[in-house]
Amino acid sequence: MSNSDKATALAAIAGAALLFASAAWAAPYRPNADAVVIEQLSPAASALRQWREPRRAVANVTLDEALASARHYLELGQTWSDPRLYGYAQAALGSWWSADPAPPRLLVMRARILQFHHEFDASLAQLEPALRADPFDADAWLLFASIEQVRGNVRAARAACLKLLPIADPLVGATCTASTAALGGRSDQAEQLLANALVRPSQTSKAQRVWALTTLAEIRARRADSTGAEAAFQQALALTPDDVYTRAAYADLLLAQDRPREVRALLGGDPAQADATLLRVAIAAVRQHDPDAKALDDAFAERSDEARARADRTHLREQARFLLEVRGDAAAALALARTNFTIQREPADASILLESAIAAKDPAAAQPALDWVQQTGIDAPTLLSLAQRVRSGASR
Amino acid sequence: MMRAAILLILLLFATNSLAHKPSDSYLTLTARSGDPVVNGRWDIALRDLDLALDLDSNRDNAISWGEVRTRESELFAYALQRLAVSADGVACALRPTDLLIDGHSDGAYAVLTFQATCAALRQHVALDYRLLSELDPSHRGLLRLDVDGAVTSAVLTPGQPPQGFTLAQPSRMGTFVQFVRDGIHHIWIGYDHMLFLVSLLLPAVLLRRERSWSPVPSLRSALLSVLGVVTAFTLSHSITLTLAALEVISLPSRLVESAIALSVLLAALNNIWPLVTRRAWLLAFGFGLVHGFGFASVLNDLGLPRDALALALAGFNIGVEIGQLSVVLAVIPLIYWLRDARFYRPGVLVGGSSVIALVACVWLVGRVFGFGLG
Repeated sequence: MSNSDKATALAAIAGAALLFASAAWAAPYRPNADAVVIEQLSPAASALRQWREPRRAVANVTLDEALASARHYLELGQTWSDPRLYGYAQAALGSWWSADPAPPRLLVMRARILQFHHEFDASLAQLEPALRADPFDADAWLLFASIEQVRGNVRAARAACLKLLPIADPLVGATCTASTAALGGRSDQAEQLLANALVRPSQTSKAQRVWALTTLAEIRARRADSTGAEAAFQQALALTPDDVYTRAAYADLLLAQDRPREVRALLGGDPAQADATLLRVAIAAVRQHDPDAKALDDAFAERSDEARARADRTHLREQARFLLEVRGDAAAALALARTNFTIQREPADASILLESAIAAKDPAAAQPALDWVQQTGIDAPTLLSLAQRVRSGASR
Repeated sequence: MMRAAILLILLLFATNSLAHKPSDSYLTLTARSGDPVVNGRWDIALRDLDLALDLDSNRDNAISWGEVRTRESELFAYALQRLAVSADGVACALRPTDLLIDGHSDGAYAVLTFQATCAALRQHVALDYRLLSELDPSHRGLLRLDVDGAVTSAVLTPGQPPQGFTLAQPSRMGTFVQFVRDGIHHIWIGYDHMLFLVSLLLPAVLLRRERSWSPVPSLRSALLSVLGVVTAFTLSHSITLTLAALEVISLPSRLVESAIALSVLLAALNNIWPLVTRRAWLLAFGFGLVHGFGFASVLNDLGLPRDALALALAGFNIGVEIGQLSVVLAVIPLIYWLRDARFYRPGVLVGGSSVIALVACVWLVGRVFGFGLG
């Protein structure tokens, strides 16, 4: 080796050492000027400030003012998919959070906040006395129905929807009923009911219409009517293009049809987006063999680590899907999917449990999902064929 | 060019945080059993601090460094009032040390570093955590408690009764391993020892004949001279390290630190204007005595366990030797390979030694006059 080669090699080694040293010392840092913007606050922050500022000085808040604040925070939290706001809602109730006895409207608000934290049992424990005291509270029945539906108690959810029908807006009643009927093996009638309700004139809010359209789209998607499902998703997104739930559900339809490019177009590449949409972007990137896949994988994995550190179990379904579809780690996915199924049991929760049991060649682990499919009588073809594959795997 | 640079900085640091997770803070406490000082690092989301203290004073929906920096004392007061640390039942005094910024997955965080002065930690740490309890009850503090390298994690809920952590009593093996680690660490971060060693190693791949250098003919002869230097240095610093640790001899630390700087300077100058060439091991032995006193003062600061003195001393010394050996193993193959390159003598031996001598001069002046430069 020549002298100049050796000099180059020496310079390269010195450079690498410097780089290594600076990488080791990279975080945390002191910005070099006062003007450097270190945090761009979300639009939710200014909405929040506007709400808080005039209320800060008020000393004696009445229960109704506190409930109004809590409701406002929950709405902001849903709009921006920001769970911090659910904590603010709880704080807004102050000592009413643990007041006993509590008037029904306070019980319902507590139940709503607990439901956002996925504390389903605690939420129902607030709702039951509230509904006994006031059986004509449509909001409370709706909340009751949606919690029972998430927990997979389809029959209890349907009973709550029936209570709701005579007292709620027709579209809300129809959505609730259709949603539970579809899980009980009547997706035909459910779709009819909802489609009809949607064409009738109604007083409902935009959010309720989006909910109805998304529910219709999901029923159609489970029935393998992808054209109809897509039309309903697009109608919903025309009303609120930012709705995280609808965007994620639409992305699932596109992924099921192996259209990852459209998922990327729909959800964009921002690694700071909500967990639910970030997961779908990451899956799409992996399917496309895109170089961005690594960065998206890292971003989602960091969030999973953070959730695990705080013992947060609200996103286990997403984490299981991440492990299965992005990492290809079937055994780890199966472990999370099983835990998740003890907390929530919707079709998507059954799906991920069945899929990871198949991938991990452990059909016995999916027994709770098989039982649930049997009990509910759900008639979604993809779910039934997954269940069939698990059963035939088990019998072999 | 300037504008491009500014834009890049904005892109790097101003992550638009569509927050997707509940509020967490990250609290790390690093302690050593027997040591009254616990080091703390507390990462708190700027969004959360903004909620509590209204940081965005110009209402542009963005937080600049100036809006944080100018309120440093307020930030510390707010946070440290909401954290109580106690060791073995005695409350610790919390003192702010520095305010920095770091990024987490949901945006920028203020990094508050502080020192807790406690009674010497033996068995039990308790934490009363109340951050954001009145503003966001779903907030959690994610604790990482590191005692002698053993890490405990916990989730702290604001407003709950203080949470206690009983420390595992360190095994004798654990103590030993910890001190070996400290010894290695001390060499790797102790640039004065490292530069001294490098100064002695640089000429080991050369032979001095008739007032000029020539490359050694074989690796064997280079290794022989390295072996002499390293053995002499090890032997002599072990002697003084032991004597000082057992408090047989004690020297003022300023004198020791200055002498170490001087030893680095002289070793480097000896490469530029050679005086001692054949018996480099003599140089290593003589100055090694000084470095041993330096190691002893570090060992003292670490807090020697009275019940396991010999074990700790042996562990630390072995750690120092491992650290030293790793420097030798990194340097020797490289300089042996470079020894016959034309630039080795002017560039590496003389040039490198000049840089080392310069650094040593700065240290020497700083240490003699107490400027605290090195």
